[in-house]
This record gives sequence, structure tokens and C-alpha cells, in this order.
Amino acid sequence: MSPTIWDGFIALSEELAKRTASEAALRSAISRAYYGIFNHARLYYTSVTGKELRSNDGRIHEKLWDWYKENSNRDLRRIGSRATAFRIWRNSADYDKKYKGNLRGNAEFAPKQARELRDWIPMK
Amino acid sequence: MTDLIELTRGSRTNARPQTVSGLSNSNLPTGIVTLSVPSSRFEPSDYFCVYVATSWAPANDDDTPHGYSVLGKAEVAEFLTTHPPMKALLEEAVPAIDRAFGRASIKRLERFRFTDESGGECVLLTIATEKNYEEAMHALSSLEDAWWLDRVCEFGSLLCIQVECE
Repeated sequence: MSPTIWDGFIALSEELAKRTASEAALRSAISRAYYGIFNHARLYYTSVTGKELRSNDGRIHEKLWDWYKENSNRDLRRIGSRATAFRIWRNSADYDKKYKGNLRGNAEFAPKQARELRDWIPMK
Repeated sequence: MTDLIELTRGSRTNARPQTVSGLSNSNLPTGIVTLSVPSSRFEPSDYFCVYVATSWAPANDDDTPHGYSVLGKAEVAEFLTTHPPMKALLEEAVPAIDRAFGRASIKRLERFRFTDESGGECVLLTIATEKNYEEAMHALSSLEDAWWLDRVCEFGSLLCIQVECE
């Protein structure tokens, strides 16, 4: 799929984050932003390694971010570290009955964070 | 001695762990919390209720590293026992965090289990700061450059750092 789709996820996240009266919208803002950066990062991983991480691979999130965190390139390690924190937000947003943390703040920061991380991923 | 804590709506400062530490030090099993505006409608961001409902306790013995508030101390201690180098890593993190975020920053530890399809678990280190988003991200970059990026290859699957800012 085209990277523009994943940018669309991030743009959608920004719209959802403005709907502050809706907990579902705020949680979705976090989730969409996470998947925006996750898929950008996955495309880069594939372009470098020649390998596909498939969604039916049970540990896809862990494997992807571990590859970044263990990379010799410090910038990629930074992406992996921050994305792992982002993954924690997304886990709580999508699975927890009560969101752990500052939902409104995290929803507002999520699209910003996703754009920053996307911009740090080298062009290939 | 009874701890009576008054939380004012929207005041995140009052919700910080040091306030709740007072609760955990009490001889009473529960604390009494009064809300200054009981009829207020609380927003999702008014998350101090979480702190009150749980048992943050300062790490003050040899099971967990010094300088942190710990949620679920036994669970964190068990994780650190399974991964012995983690305790020294967390102790060396404290001055690095203080240099990047200032000594007023609050450092919390908890054990986190991922519930997504990948699963896994880690220790989550949350740095709570009064800085705004841009300042906090700048401080995080400083911490990463000065310390964390040299450790993340080895410990990145065991420790996750997140920032909670204004």
C-alpha cells in the first residue's frame, strides 16, 4: 500500500483528536497515529532488509521495533524507542477499559509524534 | 495519623505521586479524598483518580531502585530479579533524567504487559514533567543522546521510557 495511506491515518488522527468530547474519538486518534507510523516504519524495514513483516506474524510489533532499537544507526534506535512508548499508548487506547494516562493530552500529542517519527525515517 | 488530601479539579500538580505517597504511608488501609467541586463533570484528562485508586509507593528498599515511585512493587521487583542488570540501569538513569528534565521531574516505574497481538512485557519508566510538549521532547532527546541510545540495544526490549507532560 502507498505511504500516502499511512499519512492519511495520521491526518485522520489529527481530526479525531479535536473531538475532545468523545472518548472513542480520542482513543482512535492515538490508535490511528500509531498505525500511521507503524506502517511507515514497516515499509522502511522491508526496503532495507528485503523481508516482509506480515500482520499474521504474532510478534510483528515487537519484532519491528526491536529491529529499530537494535540498529547501528542512532536515529533509528531513537525511532524504535519512542515508537515503543507509542505502542503502549495504543495498547491502552484499544484494549483497556480505563485508559492509563492522560487521554486528551496523549491524543493531542499522538499525530505530532507520528509526524516527527515519520520525518526521521530515512527516504529509501 | 489520617491523611486527608484535597484534590482540586484540573490541578495536575496535586495528583502527582508524592501526594499519593502520603496515602501509602498512612496506617489506614484507605485514604479520604475530598473534591473541592464535587458536582463537577470530570474530563478524560483529569486522571488523578488513577493515582488515588492505586498504590504508588516510593522505592525505598533493596528490591527496587532508588529515586522512583513504583506501582505494583512486587511485580516490578520480580521482573528486576529476572533481569538483574536492570536495577543498576535504572539507578544510573536517575541522574541522567535529572540532568535532562530537571530534579523536579517525577520518575515512576511499573510493569507493563502488552495486550496487542505481539504480547510481551517490559518495565515502563514514566517521566512526569511540568514542561510543555516541545520542551519535554527536547529534554527527551537530551536524555536519549546522553544516555539511553547507548543502552537501548541491550535493554530496549526490557525498558520503555515515556514522557508525561503538560
